[in-house]
Amino acid sequence: MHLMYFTEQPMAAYDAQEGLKYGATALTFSNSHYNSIEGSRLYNEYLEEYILAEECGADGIMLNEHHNAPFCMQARTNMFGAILAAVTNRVKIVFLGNPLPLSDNPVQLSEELAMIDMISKGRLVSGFVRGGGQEQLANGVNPAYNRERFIEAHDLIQKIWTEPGPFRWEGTHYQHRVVNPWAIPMQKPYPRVWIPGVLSKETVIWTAQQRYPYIALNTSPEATKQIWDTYSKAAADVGYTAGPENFGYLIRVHVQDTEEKALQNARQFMWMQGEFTGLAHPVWANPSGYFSPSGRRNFVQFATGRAKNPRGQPTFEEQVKDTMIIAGTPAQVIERLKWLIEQTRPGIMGIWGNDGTVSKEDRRRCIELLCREVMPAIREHGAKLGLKDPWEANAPVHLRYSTDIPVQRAAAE
Amino acid sequence: MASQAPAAYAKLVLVGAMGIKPPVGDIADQAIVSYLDYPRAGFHDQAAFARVYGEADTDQLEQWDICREMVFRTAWKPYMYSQTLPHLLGGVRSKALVVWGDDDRHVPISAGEAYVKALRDARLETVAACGHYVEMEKPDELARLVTSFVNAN
Repeated sequence: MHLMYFTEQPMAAYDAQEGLKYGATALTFSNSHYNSIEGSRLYNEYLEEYILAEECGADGIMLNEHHNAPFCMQARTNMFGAILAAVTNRVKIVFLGNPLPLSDNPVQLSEELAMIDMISKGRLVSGFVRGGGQEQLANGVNPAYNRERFIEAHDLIQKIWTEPGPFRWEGTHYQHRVVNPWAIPMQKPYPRVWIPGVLSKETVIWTAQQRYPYIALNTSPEATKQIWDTYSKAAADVGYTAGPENFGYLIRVHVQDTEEKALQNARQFMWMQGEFTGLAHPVWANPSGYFSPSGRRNFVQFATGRAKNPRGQPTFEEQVKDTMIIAGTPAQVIERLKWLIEQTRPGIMGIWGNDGTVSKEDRRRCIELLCREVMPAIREHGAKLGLKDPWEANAPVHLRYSTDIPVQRAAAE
Repeated sequence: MASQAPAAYAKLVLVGAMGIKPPVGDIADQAIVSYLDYPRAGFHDQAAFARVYGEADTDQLEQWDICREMVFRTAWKPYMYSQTLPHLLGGVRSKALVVWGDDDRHVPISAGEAYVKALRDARLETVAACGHYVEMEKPDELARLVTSFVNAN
């Protein structure tokens, strides 16, 4: 199994009352409430914590990107990726992911990623995402073309990484007269691509068709199994059998020396939930054209207050009971995680360890216990269950590099 | 259309027209407001909204979302205006009537004034106690203005 550490890098040092007064803490909540001195402190603490996670044994560091909101300070995932490429030595640097549609220049994006791969000596996992609806609005990107831009940007980057330049690209959303970047990744055929998501069935199917691992982001165990079913069917349609190396799962976990302290700190996972899902207008998360047409009718009802949030708003206690949040001592967490991976069977696991206003000392203690005690136990249990990650399984980077699909072999002959 | 075919139209009527960047204020961004708040903001009198749309059932909300998506597909950036059009308006030969609600919260009246200034032969008429949707809120007044303009020599 591949076990990686994650945090949203919360910008917890702002006056929460101002957000409550304004009625939103996303998109249009003024950055006059952003304190750069505190931002500097937090960025540097989070960086130290990533280095600590590597020292304590994490396989990877998972990074992401969001905009215009205190719940995530990573306005540019490649920035932290570049820093980690230089200051770490062993961990995989896992982007989950670069929001492709936000880029007006996928060629330049491919250059940044190639630089990170080379500087890190081949440790990049180049995950891609569509980006949330709010990210489109924050970056002035057309939400109605989100999926098209995602696919075209991916195809262009894939071509850059697999075919020599110069070539010309005249696409629907991107047009480049000379594609010939002098920065290409070390990893061949190209860095592994993982695709995270939550809801979109189309994304699951597309991911399976590429044979990229799909990383379910803190979905319930039942919903996760449904995602795997969808993925597995799409995989079978293109000729391969999906396994643990195709599946990843992100779970909120907080570990401390005592259960009481762990639960107390784990309540900070609600900090982001209350603000992100409770204090933002629904149309920001799902601007018109962004989501599947099949979801339009339900969404307009929810967005106008005529229907409940389809994701529900479970309490902290409900989330602990349903294993959406795990908190406790190492032994307690290990027991729960073992059950979870028996249910969901991922070869990749992201452990979301800290959020909100958890103190620096407690964040560090969580990382130590997580990486030194919990991860080894889960890795061992995963090995017994046969949960191999893509490297252990020697999985192809993309469907086209498969050696186990009979139709493809016939074509080569 | 008139700027592309200057001789094709004898007369032109613009009502709360988008298309140019207002010199003062911005065209209201429907991307960040609810499906109900945006059309409501297009009426001066909320009773007029209720008269036209009633409770705005789910079918209506769905249609508004589809319309919104189409707006994004065709007019996302720059949002609802053309940077080229102001430079072409001087070539339009049609006489023009520009009508604006005096409480238009979707397109600032400065855009109407800019149209009048850019077109060769245009005049601005404002409709009192009226929002952006002049044709829905004050249809009789609009009809009077348009018919008298069209029928005049």
